[in-house]
Amino acid sequence: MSDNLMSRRKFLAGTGLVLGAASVSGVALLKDADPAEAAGTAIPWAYPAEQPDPEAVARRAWEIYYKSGCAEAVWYSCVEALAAIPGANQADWASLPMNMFRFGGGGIAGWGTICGTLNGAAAFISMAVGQNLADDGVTKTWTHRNNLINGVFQYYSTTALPTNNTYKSSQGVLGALGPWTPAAPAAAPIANAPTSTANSPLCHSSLVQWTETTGNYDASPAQRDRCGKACFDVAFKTISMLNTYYELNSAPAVSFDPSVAACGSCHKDYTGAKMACGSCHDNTVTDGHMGGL
Amino acid sequence: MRKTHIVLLVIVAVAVVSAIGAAGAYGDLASDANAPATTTDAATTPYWDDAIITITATDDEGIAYIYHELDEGIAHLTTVEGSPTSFSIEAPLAFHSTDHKNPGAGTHTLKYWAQDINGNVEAQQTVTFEVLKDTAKPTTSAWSVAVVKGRVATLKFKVSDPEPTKGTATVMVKIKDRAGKVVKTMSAGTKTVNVPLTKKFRCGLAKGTYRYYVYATDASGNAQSKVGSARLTVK
Repeated sequence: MSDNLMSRRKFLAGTGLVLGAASVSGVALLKDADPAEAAGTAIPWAYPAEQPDPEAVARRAWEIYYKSGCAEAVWYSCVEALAAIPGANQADWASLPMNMFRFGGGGIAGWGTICGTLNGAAAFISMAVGQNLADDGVTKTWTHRNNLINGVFQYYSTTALPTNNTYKSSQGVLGALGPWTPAAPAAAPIANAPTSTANSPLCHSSLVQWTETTGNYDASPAQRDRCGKACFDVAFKTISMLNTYYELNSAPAVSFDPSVAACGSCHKDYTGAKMACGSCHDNTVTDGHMGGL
Repeated sequence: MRKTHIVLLVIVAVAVVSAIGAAGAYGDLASDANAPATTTDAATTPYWDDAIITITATDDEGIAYIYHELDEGIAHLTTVEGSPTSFSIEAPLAFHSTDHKNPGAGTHTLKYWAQDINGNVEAQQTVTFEVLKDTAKPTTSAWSVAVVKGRVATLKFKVSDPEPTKGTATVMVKIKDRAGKVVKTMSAGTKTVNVPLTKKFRCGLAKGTYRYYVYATDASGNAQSKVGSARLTVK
């Protein structure tokens, strides 16, 4: 598939595959139905039994980053992997247009909000994981999907990134894939780059922290290396988590930063969040901002 | 041996040596999952005025970076050249500098961790330390005394220095006559603060009434804000 936006004809052709698959599954289709509303295309889509290799997907994330940015890198590398593996929704995965998540770079069109790697990962997870039954065996919840999204967000926030895994992969010592030379225009990963722990899922917060710590500047080769590796790391994590999830049907709850519970114990009327409060707010629980409590 | 054989041998030798070197490097990169271990010599007792804390990182493969972060600020990155298995820095360091940064008075949190040459990053460790800074000026007070001319006079005084204090002050005593003219200046040396003090001297002053004044500079260099004085009667 080219890097350009998928043409209308190509998109419709892909949709035709989807509609065909839907017909096979016995779902009635409306004439001229909006493809997005066509029964059978609704997510979640099946995750293939033959699971994708996290390292192979992560390598593609690194390469796509240099063409289309971080959000697209994680989202499309995962989508592309499932599109290549036989499964109930292989055609659906294959129907998705490249560059759909290109908007997510720089925290969505440069707004510095959510890190694009997480945007892409969350979108992909939500396409692959639907509702699960609660403990009562009746109620449907989004617990598993949310736990998986929580897991990748917390991984990004609390891990010293970028890991050296992209470089290790290029040297052929991460998994069993052997050495790898990234396809142009992707650069060769820098060996053992300095790291920072973001304590935040936000693009601006995490990247400023990394550039300030390392002395590198935005849009520099080193910064591109850092964000490309973040794509590698997050794609690797996302696929690893999903592989485990579909193997064990288990998505363990994630522990959040202690400030989330501590601050939330008083700020009950505030809009909730799972980010570490200290990533934006200077207050601490003991600093007296609560009237000396 | 033919020249071509020698060239071939050299090429093979170089290839073998390169392969061994590469395999060694890759072997470490692939198998080293041990993060460095970092320690500090941070004192549990307060520092005066400034704190210089030595952070030492050790790793069996080699140290690449040492990080430290003061009071939740931006982490300071120290790039370690030469991959030593142990390396120390003196923290805290100023932003993007190798100059020392005085953390200032108060209780501080220092986070520190290291990264080895294979990309293994140590979990952040935290130590708290306290820096005290004495900016309060001492005050002095004195009590009236009398002495027979030619005998030993015992001047009685006190240097009051509020906490935090280093506990001592350098004391100077001046005796002035009724006209306010200084007739004698004496060093009382370094004295403990906040306790009754004396200064003895053989009094050769003429009979009459004088006042003695007590000047003090505490160990942090703060001069007294109030000069205590009292009457000295020479009989």
